[in-house]
Amino acid sequence: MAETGSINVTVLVADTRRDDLSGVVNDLKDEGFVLKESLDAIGVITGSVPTAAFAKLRKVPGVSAVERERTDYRPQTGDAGAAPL
Amino acid sequence: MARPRPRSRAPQSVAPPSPPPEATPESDGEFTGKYLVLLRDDGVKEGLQAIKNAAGLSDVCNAADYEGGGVSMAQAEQAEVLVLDKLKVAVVDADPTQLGGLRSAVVADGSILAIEPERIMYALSAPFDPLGPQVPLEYLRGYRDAVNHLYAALTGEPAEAETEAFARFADNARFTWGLQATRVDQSRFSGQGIRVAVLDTGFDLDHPDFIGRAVSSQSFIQGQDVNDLNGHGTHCVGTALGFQQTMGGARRYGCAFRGDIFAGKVLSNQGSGADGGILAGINWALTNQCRVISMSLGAPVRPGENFSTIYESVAQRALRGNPGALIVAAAGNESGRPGLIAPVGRPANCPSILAVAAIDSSLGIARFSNGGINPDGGGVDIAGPGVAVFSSVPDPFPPSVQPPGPGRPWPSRYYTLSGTSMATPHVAGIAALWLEARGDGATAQSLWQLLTGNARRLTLPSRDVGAGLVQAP
Repeated sequence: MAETGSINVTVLVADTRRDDLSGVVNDLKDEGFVLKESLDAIGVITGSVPTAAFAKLRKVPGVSAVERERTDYRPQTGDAGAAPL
Repeated sequence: MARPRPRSRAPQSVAPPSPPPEATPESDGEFTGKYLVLLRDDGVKEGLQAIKNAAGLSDVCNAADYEGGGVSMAQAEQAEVLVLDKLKVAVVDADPTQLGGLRSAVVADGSILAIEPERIMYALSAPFDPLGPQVPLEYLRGYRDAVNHLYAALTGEPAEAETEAFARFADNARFTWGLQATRVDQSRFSGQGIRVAVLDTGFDLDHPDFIGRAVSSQSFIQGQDVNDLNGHGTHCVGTALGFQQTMGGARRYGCAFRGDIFAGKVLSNQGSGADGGILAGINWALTNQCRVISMSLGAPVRPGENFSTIYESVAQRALRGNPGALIVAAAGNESGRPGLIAPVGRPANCPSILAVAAIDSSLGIARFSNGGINPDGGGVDIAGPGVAVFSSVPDPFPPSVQPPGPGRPWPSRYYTLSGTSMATPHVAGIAALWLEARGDGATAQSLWQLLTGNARRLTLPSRDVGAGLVQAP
């Protein structure tokens, strides 16, 4: 969970820098980013950043996209049916 | 229902042979009493002569005589024959005897091709529809179907299903209705050697139906292990990968019964998930060479809301991998058909994620199933069985049920659920069957084409079911 004043973010790393994820992480940290996970197989980095620094992350070299973490995913069950058998 | 009005009029030609029995119009519809006569393309003149001879009619009004073909309807109404020369059709006011003559002419004279009674058509006046004038016919159809199904539910009589009139499946002793409708029950494939990831609320690793199965598992929920205390994840794993034989002889409910199970917990026991855990789960699945990733999860979007750039890129990277992975996700359940169709939720709304809608055992669209109403992605790609789906749940069912609520705790071992959550693992398990069927050459991208190309076409809009109902090889 992000600290007060921080938000959780997801960072997409461009194809051009996918082989240098740790380098991207370091550059993000320079902007106040706190690493949660580096997901090599998909080229995504997750972590948190002070709210004020959010806009700066997009400008880090090799960053294609930055999104705030969404936390509202749910199982997609409609009506529960009757007991079986 | 109007019947042709007999006219008393002396025939002006030699009496024709006794007329064939007058054909009555079909019982559904109203008729003017006149007849439409289709003339041969290059024989309009001859056909017109044949009509006059056979039916003894001489009072002809021809559209060609009017400027721009603009026939005076008053004069057309009065004439015995109205010729629409560009259409090669004549409208003929014939009594039963004259009709008999005309019908004989169809046989005898090649310039008359066909005769049918002229119908009365009504403009469909749309009721007020907040979704706009392009929808009303669908609305009425859906409303009619909803009433039919309600009637059927209350009376126990079968509902009239105008679409897919003879498609009605039911659970039997050997197979769930869904396995029958998707032809999994007839498939010789098992998903042998194919790794399928189910990212959900975890899995009951001790479920009696899964003893001896290869199960890899990982929790991406802080503070919770993969053991499923919710039930949803176990149900989805069962649908995708449940075994042929079950403990105690319950019917088979799983598609890829020899697939390798990768159960990733990305939704908490309380049924809540976030990007961090879901993306980590996808990363884990790809790292472990899973070929199919099943995600029965989602969040609602607003009409017009765009899909996530990040999920879309991730899905593309998965598809392009070698051999790559197909990500399959639930379209979502916010709809309340027929009146409300909600847009496909995220992340299923990504173009590179296969979005799955839910159909019922009559192959109708589930009332809750979302539709592809957002442009730019957000389409439904395929449909799967998603109403009254029997599958596995934790055994014993956890006493400290999470979340609590109506209907909980569920019974142990098996339960019947509905949702696009249930349709999704059907597609995932069947995808594994296709991968096995096609062998090493099948890439994730070609898998998408195999599933959609071999889907059973339904008489439902692609907005609702995409390519149709998924089918097993």
